[in-house]
Amino acid sequence: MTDWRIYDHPIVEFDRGKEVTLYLDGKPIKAFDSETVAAALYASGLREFSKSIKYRRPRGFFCAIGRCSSCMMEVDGVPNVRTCVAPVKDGMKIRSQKTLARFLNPILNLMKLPPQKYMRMFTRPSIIYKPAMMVMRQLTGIGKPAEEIPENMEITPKSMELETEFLVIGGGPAGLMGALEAAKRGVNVTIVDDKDMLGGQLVKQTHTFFSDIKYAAGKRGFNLGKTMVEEIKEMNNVKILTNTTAVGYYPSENRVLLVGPEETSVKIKAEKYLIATGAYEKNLVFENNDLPGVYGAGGVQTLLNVYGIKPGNRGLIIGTGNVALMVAYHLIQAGIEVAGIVAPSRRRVKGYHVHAAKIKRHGVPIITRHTIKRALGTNFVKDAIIVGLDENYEEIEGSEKKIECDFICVGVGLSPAYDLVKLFNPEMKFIPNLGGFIPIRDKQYRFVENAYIAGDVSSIEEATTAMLEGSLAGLYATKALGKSDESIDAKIAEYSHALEEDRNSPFSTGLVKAMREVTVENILEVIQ
Amino acid sequence: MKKIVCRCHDITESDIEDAIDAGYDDIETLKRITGFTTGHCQGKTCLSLVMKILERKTGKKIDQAPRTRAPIDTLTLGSLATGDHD
Amino acid sequence: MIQDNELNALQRGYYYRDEISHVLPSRERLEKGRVAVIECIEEIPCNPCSVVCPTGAIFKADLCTPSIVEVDKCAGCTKCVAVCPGLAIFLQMIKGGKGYVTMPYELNPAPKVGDKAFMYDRSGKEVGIGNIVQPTYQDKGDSYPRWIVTVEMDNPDLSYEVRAIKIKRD
Repeated sequence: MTDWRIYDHPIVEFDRGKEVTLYLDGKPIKAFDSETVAAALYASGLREFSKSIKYRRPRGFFCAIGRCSSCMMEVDGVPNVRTCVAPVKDGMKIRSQKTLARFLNPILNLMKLPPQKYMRMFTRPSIIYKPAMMVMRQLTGIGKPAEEIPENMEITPKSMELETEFLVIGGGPAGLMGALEAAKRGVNVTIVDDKDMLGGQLVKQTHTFFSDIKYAAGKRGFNLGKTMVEEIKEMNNVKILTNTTAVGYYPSENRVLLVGPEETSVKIKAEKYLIATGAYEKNLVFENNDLPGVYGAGGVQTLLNVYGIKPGNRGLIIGTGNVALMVAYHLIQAGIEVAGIVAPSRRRVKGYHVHAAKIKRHGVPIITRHTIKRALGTNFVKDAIIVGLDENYEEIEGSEKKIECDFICVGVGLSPAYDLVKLFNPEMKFIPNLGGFIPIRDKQYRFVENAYIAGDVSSIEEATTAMLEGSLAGLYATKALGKSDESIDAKIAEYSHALEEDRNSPFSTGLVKAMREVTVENILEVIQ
Repeated sequence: MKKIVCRCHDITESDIEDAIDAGYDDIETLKRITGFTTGHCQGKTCLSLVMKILERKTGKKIDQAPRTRAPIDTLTLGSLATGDHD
Repeated sequence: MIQDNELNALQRGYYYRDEISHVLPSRERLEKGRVAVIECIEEIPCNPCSVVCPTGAIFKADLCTPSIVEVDKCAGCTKCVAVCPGLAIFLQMIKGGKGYVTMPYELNPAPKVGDKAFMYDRSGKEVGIGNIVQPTYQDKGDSYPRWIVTVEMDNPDLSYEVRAIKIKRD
């Protein structure tokens, strides 16, 4: 039986929990109770999770973290469940959401159907509209609601209102440190994360961190995360809400709407907020870029380091930043071949030289001045075409090369998750050196009077700077809540100095300059 | 071969380019005619790609995101239910 | 496609020996005993090597300045090899006419003293087959479980080249 799981990893001991059985379209699938549905299905060999809405193209997941929504399947009768974040339960019945339209895919792939074209289709003469719509409904859309209300359905309304002193949205390194610094000084903290466990991106970082040994250097990311999570679980003035997504902020009520598991929701009001929601993976446009087998770097890391599942046997990595170089190393550790690392970079490999050196010595080709042109394969990636670029980043004719691979990892950067931030009505700016859309903030990490920002959502950087920023935001919030203690000013000075030292490197010059431009003395001068 | 920009609505790079050529050359109207950012992922995978294409075609630097409205992620009606039921 | 020798080290992703010669110790020093070789010369905010060194042989002016090894103070203890997040620190030695390289190792299979191993240079080219010898142990500090592996080679000059191994198991 196909099983893509790794049972012998040089760094990580995968404690998968108890073995359970899922049913995919009636077929039994082996799973473990610590896995997500998508991970278990992937391990069993499933590569195509859904068909796209219009052209019925095969889709696998891209992000593996509940964002791209390509992994949606029907789980126990509920349509459009993001299987990459749905925890496994013994006996779960999963059905792929297929319609008859999937047989039309070869024709649809040849057609061009932008919305402005098909909006007017079948509307004249008016007599054909109704029957046409009945047919279209069978062919298009994703997911079908249940035909009847299930027998065991609970109809108890579970929405409630809560209040807290300090609401921390995001349980990654920034949020955890912010919550800890505040909680240690007596603040009542509620920390929220949309995943099953706290830790953010730390949970998939199996490599050791750089930076000052005082803060994080020399420790593996997932161990660092574990320590912080254990510490926060000990504090009885911290309420932890996992599997809970913050979907909105309503300024008129000063409430955040949280949606929790099992159809619960909470309208929560806080005196101070810390938004530490991190970032989204960037994507890349190339021919057939949506084929199953094209993953984000984070997706590969999640599959490999959190669930211990091989994404394939031979991967092609796009990008030469630290993340892409690190993923190549993770693949080597798992015994997976790396066909090459490809990026348009001309001046240099973008990431740290030491990251490149440690994969070069294992024979990984680093192919700069090239980019990916096309992903090959019909239902899944089977090889790719790369093409050379000239000094103007234009394709060089005749320089196409075929690279053998069975998955493609796109590691081209992150953009801050600005959506929730924007709902507070701050002043937003688009700053490429910080990663994308970010709010103007002040020296106390506030972007509006009652809300603070830290980590990747404030500027794309590292976990170590996220921890320091989170700590500082937490300390300033504690001060604003009137819960200072004698140590607070010294701690603020210590962490601020550490951040400055960390950003003294030439790798951070652009970032430091950009940060100065978006940081004001006092946010109240900017926001009414 | 198709180059997919918006996975949720199957919007291709040429769909975006054609819409820009047809005059929808600012981010807000481009969103309304093509529909990117309105699908399940609410723009998490497509926005930066569309911005790059828009900048390339118009030569203008994009500094505004399309209007953001809560909820920023999918939820069920059942989760919002309040009140008594017997 | 452009050849490696038309690129500089930052474009290529690895150093040629002459690009890193200023951190490589002299043969004289290698014959005196194990000594640390730090192949990290970019300004990265990072300091574990200088902090863990028990003899104060690793000097950093500040968090971002590249480390400098004072070879006369280095005792070859492997602590810096074990802690470096970039896996960029090695120990080199020449003894009894053979070369020895100690390196961090985080792959499968776990190494055993007596194993034979393929040896690779910085570009990933195979340069020979060596023997796994002492000290080879598993560091269980914060970098758990990183192996510290020492490989012995017949040609002592190769100790300036060997930077990766693959255990040879039949």
